[in-house]
Amino acid sequence: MKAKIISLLKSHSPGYISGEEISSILGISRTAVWKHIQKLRDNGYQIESHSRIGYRLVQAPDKLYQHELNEYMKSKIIGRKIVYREVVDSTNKVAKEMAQKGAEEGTVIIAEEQTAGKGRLGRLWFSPAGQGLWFSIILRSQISPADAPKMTLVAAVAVARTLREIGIPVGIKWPNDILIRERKLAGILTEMNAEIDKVNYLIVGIGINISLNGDVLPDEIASVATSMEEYAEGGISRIRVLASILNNFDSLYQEFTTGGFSNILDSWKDMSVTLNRRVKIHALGKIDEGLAFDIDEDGALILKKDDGTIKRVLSGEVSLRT
Amino acid sequence: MADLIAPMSGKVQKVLVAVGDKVEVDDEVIILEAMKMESPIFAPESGTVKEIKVNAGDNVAEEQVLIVIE
Repeated sequence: MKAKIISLLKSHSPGYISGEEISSILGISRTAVWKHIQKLRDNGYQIESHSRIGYRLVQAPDKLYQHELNEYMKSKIIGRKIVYREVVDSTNKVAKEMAQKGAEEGTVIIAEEQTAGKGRLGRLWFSPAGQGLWFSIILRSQISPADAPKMTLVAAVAVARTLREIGIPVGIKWPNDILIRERKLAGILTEMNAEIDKVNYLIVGIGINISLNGDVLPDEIASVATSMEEYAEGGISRIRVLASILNNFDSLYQEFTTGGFSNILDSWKDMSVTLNRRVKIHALGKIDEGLAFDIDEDGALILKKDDGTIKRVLSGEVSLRT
Repeated sequence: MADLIAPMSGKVQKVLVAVGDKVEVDDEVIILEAMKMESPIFAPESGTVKEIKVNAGDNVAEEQVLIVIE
């Protein structure tokens, strides 16, 4: 009912719609209409009311509500169930708990704020309220555990493709960091729960900096992070970006699970900022240096070291050299 | 006796048990990582850790035995 009222208000905005008209279209009493309007106001909707002409939507809140998201969603699997929270410790953690309890494939957990957003290797991902997109997707595909790491590249393509579609010229650093001018705009943390030959579930956590406030950034992030709003004229609609990512993720995921990884790999290569660059790869104290020559059909990075040897890299932190 | 086997190629990020530790079925015993995907590996049965064949930082291949539980 909430969604229907919002949609009526929106279709009349910036004009008014009378309480009587809403009540007759939706088949509810005018008192019920009034109660719903009060609830919407509690949710942050600015609605003007006028005794004779009715209600007018002045502004919708900048919130990632499901009924707002649904307007832009075209996906089949991803996002068919959405869980929205104002604040969580970590969307990946909530997703894992829900997956353990049997949450269905495609469930998306969205939070306005994470108090302990997870980065890699136990690091934190800075996730202040309303300044980014912090969400996790639960997958239960039939792919084998050995193929599951490829999903990290699929997720990177979904995010990078979406951001490029809205004119932000991002690149992908192997395997799945989304960068612009060498600074991190978005990060992806994938976690798998598997048995030897069966994936129980995958959690793909995505964090995108939309409007991080430079004044409050922790020092260790300030020098390496960036926000979408620095590159977008006219502001960013978080809800549209989120819907587009879920839509793109949905089609890529279906392509991936039906054997289309090589196409996705081609997109990854097109958007890569790692290939044909000199890189250093840090892995637990050891450093390899050389040319990032290619990625293979599994998505592993092929490094041509300075002594001429070839190394297949599955793990490690890549830094780009100039 | 049960072997704990790597379900994918990758790197051992953490070994969470020591030889002699008692483990319950489905306890996390190792965390593997590949292409930034983290995957805890669970004890296939309850018992005592008899042998640990890998260290943090090692690259492992799919189906490699990581830990032996008795």
